[in-house]
Amino acid sequence: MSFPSPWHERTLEDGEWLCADFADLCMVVHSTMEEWRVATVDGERGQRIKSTGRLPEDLEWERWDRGVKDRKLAFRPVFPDRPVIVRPRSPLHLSPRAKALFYVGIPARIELSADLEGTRRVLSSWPSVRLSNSWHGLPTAGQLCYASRTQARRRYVTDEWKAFDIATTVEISNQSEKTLPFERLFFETDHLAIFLHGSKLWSNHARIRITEADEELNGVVFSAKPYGDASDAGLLSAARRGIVRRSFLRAAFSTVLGTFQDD
Amino acid sequence: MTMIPKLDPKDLWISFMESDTPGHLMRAVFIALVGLPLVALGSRVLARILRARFGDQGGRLLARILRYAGFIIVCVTILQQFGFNLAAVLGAAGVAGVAIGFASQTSLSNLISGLFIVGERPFEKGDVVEIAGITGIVEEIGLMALTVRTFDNRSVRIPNETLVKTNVTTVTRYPIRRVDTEVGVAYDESIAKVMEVLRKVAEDHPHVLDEPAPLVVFTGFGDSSLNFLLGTWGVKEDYLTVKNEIPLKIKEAFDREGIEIPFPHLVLASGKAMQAIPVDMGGVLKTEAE
Repeated sequence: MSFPSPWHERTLEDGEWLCADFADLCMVVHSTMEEWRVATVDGERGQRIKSTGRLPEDLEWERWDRGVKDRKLAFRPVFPDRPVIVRPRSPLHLSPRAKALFYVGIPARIELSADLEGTRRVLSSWPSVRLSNSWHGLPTAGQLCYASRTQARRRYVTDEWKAFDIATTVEISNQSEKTLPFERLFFETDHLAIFLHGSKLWSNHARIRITEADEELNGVVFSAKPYGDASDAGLLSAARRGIVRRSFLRAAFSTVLGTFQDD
Repeated sequence: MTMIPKLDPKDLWISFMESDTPGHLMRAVFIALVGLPLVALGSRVLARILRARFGDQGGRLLARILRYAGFIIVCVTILQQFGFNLAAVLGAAGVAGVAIGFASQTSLSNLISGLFIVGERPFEKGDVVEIAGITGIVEEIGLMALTVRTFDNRSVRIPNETLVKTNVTTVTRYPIRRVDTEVGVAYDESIAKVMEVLRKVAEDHPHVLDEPAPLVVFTGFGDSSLNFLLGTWGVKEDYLTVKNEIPLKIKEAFDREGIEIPFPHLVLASGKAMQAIPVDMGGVLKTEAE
């Protein structure tokens, strides 16, 4: 039995509405009075709306003016709008010359785009799972991030993977002579795209090589495709700042080992 | 009787042209035409350079000082073209300066303090500051005073001298802040359970940061309660939200978990430390224990 992909284009005639579930998020989209109206509710309430077939009056709508003939819309998964910090189940020590592959599930944000006066435009995006805030850096300077409650894993088990988590693979290679403590991954997601493999979401694979010099922590290589069996997946959402073969930006994965705060 | 010679305009013109005056006049005009725009342009360029080092307001302030100095130099140079004796003026200014100095001691102090503040940059325009009991948003860093807009929308002018002499707290200097909430629970409650509930309250709040981790501290045995401190970190923009919502969430969580928040109370003893106080029940004397 095959289920329709939640990412296909949909049509809403004037006066129609739909209710779409994405993990903890349920989105109600209503096309009425030359407006797109969008409300987000929790899953339980979404189920009630679907079962009654009526829109409650107390929904808090966000509204966009549209043309008379505009009726097409589509949902799309995107990476969170801030970097994400993910921890392994327990701290891991990476031996000299060792390689470690991590599977990280990052809950997707759901972007809604719709026709506005005949042109397809992004209306907004909402988190499929509400992530908590975290701070990367010192109390005097740093970056606001999300902290993911799903942890970095060493193997991928399809059934354990949540439907709207993006499977992101990172291979870390310790080419130094020191054992490296690995407590968390700092994901700057701008160079990661999203692919659809079966019904699962994947990102392109990233490889990080750590050498003796701290300055070379930023040796990140991004593949164009996802890792392993998912390498034949189709592109769903392009990377925000494009897929680059190699990133020399310190911001991108620069503190991937998460030892920044311990310095 | 003296005869007044008749002045011929033509002769006057010739004598004027033969004198040094036209040359001085042309030079003065040239200095004004070139000097004034040059000073204005220079001060703009300097403002941009100084902005990087001294911030937006500081850079603008220093550039303004330099612009005024430049205009004075241009004016003096123009006057010198007409035989203006700068030395005499400076001599007179020296004498007057002493008198003016005494009279404008406070103003000069404010001016010099202003320069120190611009150099030090303890705050920027838009920062929230606490100065001598006044809390507000920095509106303008001036030569003589700082203008602060309080949260109830009053404008307060604080002399720069005060800023140098008193403690200045820049509330919004750093990107994240800790909100400390103190709470007391009844002596019957389990300390471990209370700490766990407080930690959960912090974890579940969407604006509280995971890192730096929330701080849960048992601060001691109070008169009527076991006291705890919950320190939660949030970005400065969320400070008020966290400060308002955490106490509400604590109360909700304590109610849910059946944890009592006691009010201050006194236990009266009848003289023997561990015995109950006798209570008169309408003629029959009983003790609480009965």
